[in-house]
Amino acid sequence: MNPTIETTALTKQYNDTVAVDGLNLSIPRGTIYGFLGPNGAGKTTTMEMLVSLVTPTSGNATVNGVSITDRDALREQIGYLPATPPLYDHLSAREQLHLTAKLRNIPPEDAAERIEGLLGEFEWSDAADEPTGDYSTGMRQATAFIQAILHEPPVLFLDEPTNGLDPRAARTIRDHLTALAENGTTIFLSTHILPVVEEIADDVGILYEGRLVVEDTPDALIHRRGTTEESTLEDVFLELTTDDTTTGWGGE
Amino acid sequence: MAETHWLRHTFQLTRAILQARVRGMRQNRYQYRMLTLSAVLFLLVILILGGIYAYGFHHATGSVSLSAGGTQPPLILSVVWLAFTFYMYRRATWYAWDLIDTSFLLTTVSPLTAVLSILLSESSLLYLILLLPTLGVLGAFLYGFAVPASIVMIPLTTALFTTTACVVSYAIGFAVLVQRGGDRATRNRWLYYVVRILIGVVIIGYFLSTVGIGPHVSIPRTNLVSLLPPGWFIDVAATGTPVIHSPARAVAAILGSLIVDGIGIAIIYQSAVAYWYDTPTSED
Repeated sequence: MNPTIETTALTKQYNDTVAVDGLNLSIPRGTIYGFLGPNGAGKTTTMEMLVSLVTPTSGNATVNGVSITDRDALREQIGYLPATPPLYDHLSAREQLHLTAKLRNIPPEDAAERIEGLLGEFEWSDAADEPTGDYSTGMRQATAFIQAILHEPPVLFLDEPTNGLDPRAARTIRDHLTALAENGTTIFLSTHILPVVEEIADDVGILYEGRLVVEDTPDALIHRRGTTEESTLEDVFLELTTDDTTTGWGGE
Repeated sequence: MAETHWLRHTFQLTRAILQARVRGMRQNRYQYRMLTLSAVLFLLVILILGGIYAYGFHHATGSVSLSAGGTQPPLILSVVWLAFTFYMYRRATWYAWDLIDTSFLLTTVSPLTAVLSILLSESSLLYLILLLPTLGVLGAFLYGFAVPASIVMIPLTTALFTTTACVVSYAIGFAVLVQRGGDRATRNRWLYYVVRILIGVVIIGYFLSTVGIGPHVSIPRTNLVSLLPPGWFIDVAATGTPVIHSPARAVAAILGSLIVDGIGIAIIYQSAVAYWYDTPTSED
């Protein structure tokens, strides 16, 4: 089966800085892929290249069979939640979501049903008519999450989706992601909350200084180097993202 | 595969952006009061100066001419157009950095839809700011001349004024942003600032000299600003009225505006695409 997300030597260079260096990824359909790395590793740049917000310097990539250079076709395939929720502060969540539904060509009846259903799951249908600028960080994040999945895209790119969420809302998003992946949606998830990745990700890739240093399942990573039973993905992450420790892990 | 329903999306997006911006302005009481006060003052200045000028000219010559080369109305309109263009340029260079909007826009609609929506919403916002002066001038024209054509020509003049000011300012704004973000500009940033300061000094010096402030400089009474094409919008506004105007300049103003808008949108589109897709948005 062809991978849903595939990159070949994907590189982005800004002036003298190489943000992403020859990245090769192959992510099958229905996978939750945890994309980890310290600040400045190149995670967001990678994601922005994959959603076609940034033009690669070299290399190529396809998302659900569509080249990332074909922006018009790519938009139909993806949902994107950036680290800062892209909301108009003076529109309410309901207005923002209905706008998104119109721009995504979702029929009005379907849009209303989906929006009310999703707002209900996050338990704030009543607050959905307030301006999003008055929301807490978590409510803004969840509104932007609903916005990203509203058109039921085959591929989701999420940058810190549980940032600022209360435990209940974070759980709702995790449950959603798991259910979406079971139905065939491929999820590219970047987060610093490693227990979330450990819990829901099928595969994990760790990026360090623009290069993919290791890629495997969370369990395999944890048990790969004779770690103790108490070891977590966090221990692996910390060990891998320090200078001179990336050899011997089978990374690129 | 091009974006389907791009025109419909453009209007939907424009409406949403405009709605959000107007709400934002209304919530910011200081900004709201300043804009309202500016609109009222602008209206009063236009009516009082226009009235005095028309009365004086009529008293001296027996007719009212608003658009003869070198006279004050085209000069005032050109200066106001330049001022609005500069204001919108500042907004363009600030607004384009607001990448929170573009991460939503560019993963939802095409860059062309995004560009058109931004321009339409900005032009509409400028139109709203000028609505009161437009209605005031329209009222004065209808009261003074009772010509129905003014009902079309005065709002059309404001539309030409606002769209050209927006398009020109955004074309310059995006070109500056692209240049500022480029490799060469990064290396020679000091030169960029020197050029900016020099241009600013020349513009300020020129305007000060035209109003006689500072060292005496011999400036011909018919100065360059009064000959700028935005001054021709006066001829559009006066079409159909007994005010002496130039129909040829009115036609040139309308066609010229359409050409400026068309070429400007093409330049903005190219610059915006270069800027949006090639400028770093994150250090991660």
